[in-house]
Amino acid sequence: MLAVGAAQASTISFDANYGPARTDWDPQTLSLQRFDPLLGTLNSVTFQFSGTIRSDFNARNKANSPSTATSRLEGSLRFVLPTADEMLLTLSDTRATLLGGKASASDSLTDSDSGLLMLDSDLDAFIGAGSFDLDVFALATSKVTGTGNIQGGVLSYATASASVTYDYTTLPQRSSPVPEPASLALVGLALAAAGLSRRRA
Amino acid sequence: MRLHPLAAAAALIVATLGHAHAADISHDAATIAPTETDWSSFVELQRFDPSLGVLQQVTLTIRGDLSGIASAESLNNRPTRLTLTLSAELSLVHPDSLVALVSTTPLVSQNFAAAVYDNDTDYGGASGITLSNLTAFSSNSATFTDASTLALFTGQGKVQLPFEAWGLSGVSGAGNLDYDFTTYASGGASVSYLYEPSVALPPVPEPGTWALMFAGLGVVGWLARRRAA
Repeated sequence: MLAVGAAQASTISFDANYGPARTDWDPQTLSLQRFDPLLGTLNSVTFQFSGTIRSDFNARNKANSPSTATSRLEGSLRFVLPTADEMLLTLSDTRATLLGGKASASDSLTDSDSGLLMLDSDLDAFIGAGSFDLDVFALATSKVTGTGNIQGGVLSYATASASVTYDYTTLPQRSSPVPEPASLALVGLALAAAGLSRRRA
Repeated sequence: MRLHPLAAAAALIVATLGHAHAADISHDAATIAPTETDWSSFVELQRFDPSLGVLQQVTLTIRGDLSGIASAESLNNRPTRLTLTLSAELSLVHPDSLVALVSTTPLVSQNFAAAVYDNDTDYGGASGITLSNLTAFSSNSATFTDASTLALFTGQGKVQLPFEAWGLSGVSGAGNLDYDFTTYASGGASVSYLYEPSVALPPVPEPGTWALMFAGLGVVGWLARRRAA
């Protein structure tokens, strides 16, 4: 009997991340390993993108009477692949903070989001040796309102991560070579011929 | 009983002389001097004197004046647009229910194209700005005809209304910035009463009215003499 191993579906994943780092990113670059074609046939590439923006607000109420400050963070993380496919994550958070008279307060606002992107055609950019780059643009805007007599500041930080999962079919393993159909036919013919010759004899 | 034509005519004229037109009267409250927001004070408004007549409508007017300084500095690594706003909400409040009777929100806003952070947080240079001598003004009126509000404003002396100012100043733009705001608000209020004056004595007729009355009586008398004849 000839031993034969079946072809099977498999996945392999790589990931990269950056941050926390001060916004804005114009852009930052993440590098991910390419799919090694020796592993098999690439069927699809799935990306998981995720990001977080954190804004640290600090404020001091200069007035004698208490007051409420409202802080708002809005931001976005845009991942751009070498194929020009994109994923945009939008983030926001709002907080109201009561400030006593002549008092200070700090608050961190944060929001996270993630997204999935699957590609199953034009995968050449992801096949080969080494790695490929993807760009990450991070923007953050902030807003502080309320109270009329306030002094303070905002600092914003973004964190981004990307993972790639290659879905592929392995090339079949051979302990002995599998005969071609033509070879099988030839063997069959030879056996038949041998059988016939034995009958005649 | 057939009413004498002259008497009928005279009665009709006296009835029309008794009618009066609606009148109005206004009072101002002392202005609240410019004070850092947020603040809670009160104004006193003269009530409507019921001996003048029947109060039909109260119109309350609020005025808000702001002055202040707005400063901001972008700490961003890219050019960005900053919006600086000086604002406050001023309200006249019902003394019992504490519901706002009338409010106004003066606001002044200015944009600034900030360059990349110039490494100096001085609210100046290429990435910072100081807007001093900012001012804003607004006013608003509300009219009331409900019995409860009319009663509040009717009587002797003054009614005391809480007057509040809530700061709404702020900055928006870059995710990395420093700011410094100072807001002063000053408030004013006035009230206007629309009323039906009470008629203690019939008003003195105009000379034209006298002439018309005698002319009419003359016509009626002439008609009466004709019929009698």
